[in-house]
Amino acid sequence: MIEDLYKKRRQIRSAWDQKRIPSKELIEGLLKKTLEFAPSKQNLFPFKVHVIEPDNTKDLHNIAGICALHKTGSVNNWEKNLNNKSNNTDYTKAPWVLIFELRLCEPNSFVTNHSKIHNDWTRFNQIMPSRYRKNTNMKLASTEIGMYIELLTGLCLEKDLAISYIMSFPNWSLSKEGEYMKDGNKTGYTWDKLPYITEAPVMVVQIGYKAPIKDPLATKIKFGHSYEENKPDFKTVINFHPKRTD
Amino acid sequence: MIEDIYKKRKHILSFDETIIPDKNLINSLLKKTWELTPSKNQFMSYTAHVVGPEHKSYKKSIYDICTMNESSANNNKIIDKPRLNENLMCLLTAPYVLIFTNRYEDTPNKEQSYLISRGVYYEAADKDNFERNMNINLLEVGMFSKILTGLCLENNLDITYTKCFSTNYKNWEKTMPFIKTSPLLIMSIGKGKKAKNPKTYKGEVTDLRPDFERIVEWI
Repeated sequence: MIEDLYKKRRQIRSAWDQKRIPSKELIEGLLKKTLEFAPSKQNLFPFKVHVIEPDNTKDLHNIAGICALHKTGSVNNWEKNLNNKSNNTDYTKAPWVLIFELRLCEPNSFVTNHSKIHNDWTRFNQIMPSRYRKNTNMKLASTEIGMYIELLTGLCLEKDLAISYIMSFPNWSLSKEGEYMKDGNKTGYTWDKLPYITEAPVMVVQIGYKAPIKDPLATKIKFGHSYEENKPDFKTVINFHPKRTD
Repeated sequence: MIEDIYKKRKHILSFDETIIPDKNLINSLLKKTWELTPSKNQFMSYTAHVVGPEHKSYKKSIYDICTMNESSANNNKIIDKPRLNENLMCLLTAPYVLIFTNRYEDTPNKEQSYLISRGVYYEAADKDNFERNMNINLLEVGMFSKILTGLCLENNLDITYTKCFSTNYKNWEKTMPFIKTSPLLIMSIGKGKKAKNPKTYKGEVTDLRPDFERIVEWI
C-alpha cells in the first residue's frame, strides 16, 4: 500500500490544474493530520510552515521569482523551446505553496522541568535564542522537515493531489555574530520580498491537482535517454556490512 | 489508509532480541525505499550503512558514542552511577541499525555529467566540499527514513530514530572503519519490546507538541 501510494508521485513542473483548486479545508486537514503523527525530538518542532493561499497572487509571483534561476522566471529555462501554454493557460503555477523555515521553539513542560531540575538551560538548542540558528539545530530541523514533508506527501497522494519540492532558492547563512547573511539570485529577487520570512528558509513545496495534460518538463528517467537522470545504484546508497573475518 | 499505518509508530526503547527479521525482508524494504525516495538532481548523496544482527560490537560502539554525546550535551551534570541508558538501549537490542552518512558522488549520471561539463556546480560531486551539502542530505534522509518507516510498519516491524550522537566521523571510524564521512541519522529496526510512554510530571503529560497554529501560518 505504501509502495503503491508513493509510486504515484511525480515532480510537477508545468502541469498544474488551474481550474480545479484544492479547498483550504482539505489542505488544512492534511497539514493538521501530518502534524499529529510527524516525529520531532523532544516534540519541539523547530520549524514553521507558511502556507501561501491561491488568491495571494502577489506572493506566489514573488516566490516564483525567488525560486527562479533565470530572468524569465523559470527554474531551468527549458520551457523556452516548449509550448507549455495552451488556451492562454499557464500550467507552471501551483495553487498552494508552502515555505518551511527554521523556528525558535518555546519550551514545553518537559523541557522546562528538565532544565529546572538540572539547573541547566543550555541543554536544548531548539529553545535557545543564541543557538537555535546554528548548524546543530539547522541539521535537526532539516531532518524533521524531510520527515514531515514525506508524511504530507503520502496524505496528499491519497487524495490524488500532486506535490512538488523545490530547493533552488537563495540561501541564508549565519555570520559569526549570529545574523543572517542573505543571498539573492540572478533575477534580483530575495526572500525579503516576503516580510513574514524571518528565519532561514529550508524548503518550498507546491500542492495542487495535476492537469489532464502531459507535463512537458517532466523528469526524464528513461534509461539510455540523452537526458537520463537515473539514481545512483542501490548498492551505492545502501551498504550492508557482513561479518568480518579479520 | 496511510494515517492508520503511521499512527502505529511508537518510539521503541528496546527491541526483542529473540526475533530477528529476515535479511531478505530488510533488503527488499530498503530497495523499495530507494526506488520511492525523491532526490534533488537524483544525487542521493548519502549512504545507509546497515549493521546487521551479527554485529554486536559495532552496536556497542554506536551506543557508546551516543551515550557519550548525551552526557556531554548535559554538560556532564547528569551523571548517576554507571548504568545502561534506557533511552539508547534500542541501539544495543535492535537486530538492524542503519547509520546514514554523507556521500561524495564520484560517478555522476549522464545528465549530471552533461551539466557539469556545461559549468553547472554541484557540491555533491565536489570532493573537497561535498559535506557542505549536508542540509539537503539531512532533509532527504528524513524523507528516506519516513518512507522506510511506513514500509516497516506495514510489515509489523518497529523502528526508532536517534539523533543524539557526535557528527564528527573521526569519533566513529576508530571502531567502525566504514564510517568515513559525517553521520546524519541513526535508525533502528526490529520487533519492539518496550516503547516509550509520553513524559509526565505529577500525572500530567509534559512533552506535548506545539499547537498547530504555532507551526502553520496562513498567508
